[in-house]
Amino acid sequence: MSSELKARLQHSSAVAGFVLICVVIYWQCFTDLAAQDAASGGAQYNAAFVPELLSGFLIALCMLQLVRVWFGNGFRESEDTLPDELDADAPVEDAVTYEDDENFGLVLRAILCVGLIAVFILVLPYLGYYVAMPLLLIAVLVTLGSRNPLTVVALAIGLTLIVGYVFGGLLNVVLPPGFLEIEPW
Amino acid sequence: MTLEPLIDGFRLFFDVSTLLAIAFGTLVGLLIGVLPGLGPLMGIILLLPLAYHMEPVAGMGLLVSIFVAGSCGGAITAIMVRIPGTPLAAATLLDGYPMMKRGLAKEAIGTAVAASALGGIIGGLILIFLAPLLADIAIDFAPPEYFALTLTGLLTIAVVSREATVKGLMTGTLGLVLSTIGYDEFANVSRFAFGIDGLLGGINLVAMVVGIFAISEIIDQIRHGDLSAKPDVSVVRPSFSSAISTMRHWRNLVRSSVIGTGLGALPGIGGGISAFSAYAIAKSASKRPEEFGTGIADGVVATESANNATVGGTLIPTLALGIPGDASSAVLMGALILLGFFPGPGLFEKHQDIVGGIFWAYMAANVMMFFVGILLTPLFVACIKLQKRYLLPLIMVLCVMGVYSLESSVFDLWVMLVFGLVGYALRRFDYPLPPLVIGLVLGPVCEGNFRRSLIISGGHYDIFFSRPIATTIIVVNILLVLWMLIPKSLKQRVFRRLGSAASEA
Repeated sequence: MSSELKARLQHSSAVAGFVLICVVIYWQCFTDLAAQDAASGGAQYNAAFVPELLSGFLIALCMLQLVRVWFGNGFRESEDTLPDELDADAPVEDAVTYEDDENFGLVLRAILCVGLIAVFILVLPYLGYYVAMPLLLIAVLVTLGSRNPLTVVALAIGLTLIVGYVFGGLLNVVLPPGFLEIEPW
Repeated sequence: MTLEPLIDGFRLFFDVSTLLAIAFGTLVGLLIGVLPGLGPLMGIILLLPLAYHMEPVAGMGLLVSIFVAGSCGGAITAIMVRIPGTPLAAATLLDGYPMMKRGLAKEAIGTAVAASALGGIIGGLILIFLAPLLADIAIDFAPPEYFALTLTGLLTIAVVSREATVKGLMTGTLGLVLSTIGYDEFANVSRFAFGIDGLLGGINLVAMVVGIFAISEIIDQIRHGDLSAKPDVSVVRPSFSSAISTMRHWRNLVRSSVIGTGLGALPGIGGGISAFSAYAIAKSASKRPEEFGTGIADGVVATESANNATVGGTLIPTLALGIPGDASSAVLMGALILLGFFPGPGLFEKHQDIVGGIFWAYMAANVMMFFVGILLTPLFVACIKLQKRYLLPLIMVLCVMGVYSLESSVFDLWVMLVFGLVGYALRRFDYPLPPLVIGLVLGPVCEGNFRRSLIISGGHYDIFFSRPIATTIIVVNILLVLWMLIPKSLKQRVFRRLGSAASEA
């Protein structure tokens, strides 16, 4: 697949995401809001009027963007797909492959960090802030390339305590105590 | 009317917690401005949850001082390592970095900090004078006028997105669509909640904004940044006398500050453009224009005074009319709403003390920025060396705990993460994010006033065209749309012709 076609397809998939949101809005207006008798009548009491209007406008913009992507330069704006410094004489496909290979490790790091936040949110109510946060920080620091164990552990514990004191001690936020029921402030 | 808010607000401002919040905000703002890739918007978003737990003036003081100081901090990085800490400082490179190369680093930083503070104060004076007048004019506005006005605010979406109008309109409209999720007070139903309890009252604005901007920024930096980069910079200690040397350029200072404030008051312009405009005008007005770009203080004075004065200018329509001109002022407006106050003429009429407190906080932030900036420059220069592999986890913790602290809700953390991924996907395909937040903040206001107007008129749309002010604003909006539809090349040709005609004259 040529790099241009790949870029066009990628940008079209982004547009499809917008369209999908509009479809969900319409579907909810025609089912859920209609069932509650809130999707008819004048705009002032019609809960579906504004969302439908906005979704219609968004779909029109999506169509315009698709035209730009397939019949214009709307797909060229992503610097990842076609970097500015790309040599005009170099084969486009080679350059894109090289870029993808070079970034693979960084992409993996980014995915890992997002995954770690998701795991943290899942376990937070059970482990509690003072157990889950240092574990998250240790994992993130190691993922981002910190290798000195002393620095990693000291930073993780130090940050956890400082942030815990600011929110728990100064702002009186009830941080999740977890199964150990740790509430130091 | 002009002085009343100041008198009423002084009591709220002159309080230990408010002063401490401003000092802390100034320090954080400068720090976040210094660190490349971050900026005042990120600072405001990160500390928004903290402001939510404070008294209104202290909370707004914290956020406004981050806005003020964050607009200046980027100059230090621009001067020392030729990387603007924020896009606002890009123009400061032109003369700041050559000054450093000539061994005048401390003079360049001292001038940048002093010019920023003085420019900010001039912008503040214009804000204090103009905002109440503007609010006074808008005092008799009813829902139709507010609806027309919020439409103007929404049109800034297209202006903010400059190079990508269609994409900007798409993200802006997405923001408007997302703002419809939750309880609908007019129909007394919950919209698009999908049976999820956390969505019944709508999506938490702070969780959404933190996700869209901060989490997506973290992902983006991990994916693209060199996480262990450590620039080689030496310690610099500027002196307070730089204020006096900056004052010697008073003509340039005042002119650039007025340009910055004026452009800041126009939606979508921002500090970056005003700094470049002020630089170009200072150069053309100079007796030695050939020296610009070689490392002269005049260049730094023009850019830094203009970009900080822009903050004052941006606050004029935000506070007086409830129209945010950029993402930072949209988040500030959102913060004010979360604290229980709606920006606009009503704020000036019913809560003069809050308005006055914000004015005082803005002025104090500029004064504090001068002292903190000069005294702690060695610390800020050292921070340039901070590796991102240590900085990003800190930002992550602040995001997570900040969002959790709002309602002690784990659901909000999921919202933050999901919108972080959405924000990253939008960045990946070059969709501008500021319009999204403008849409989110203005959406409920626009829809509310639209439907309230129709209730008043009994469902007749002519209410928007039978009231002179509403009609005028709507006509102006239509003209704005037409202006945006004119091809850029044609506009540039007209401007060039006008410019040459003016110089001939």
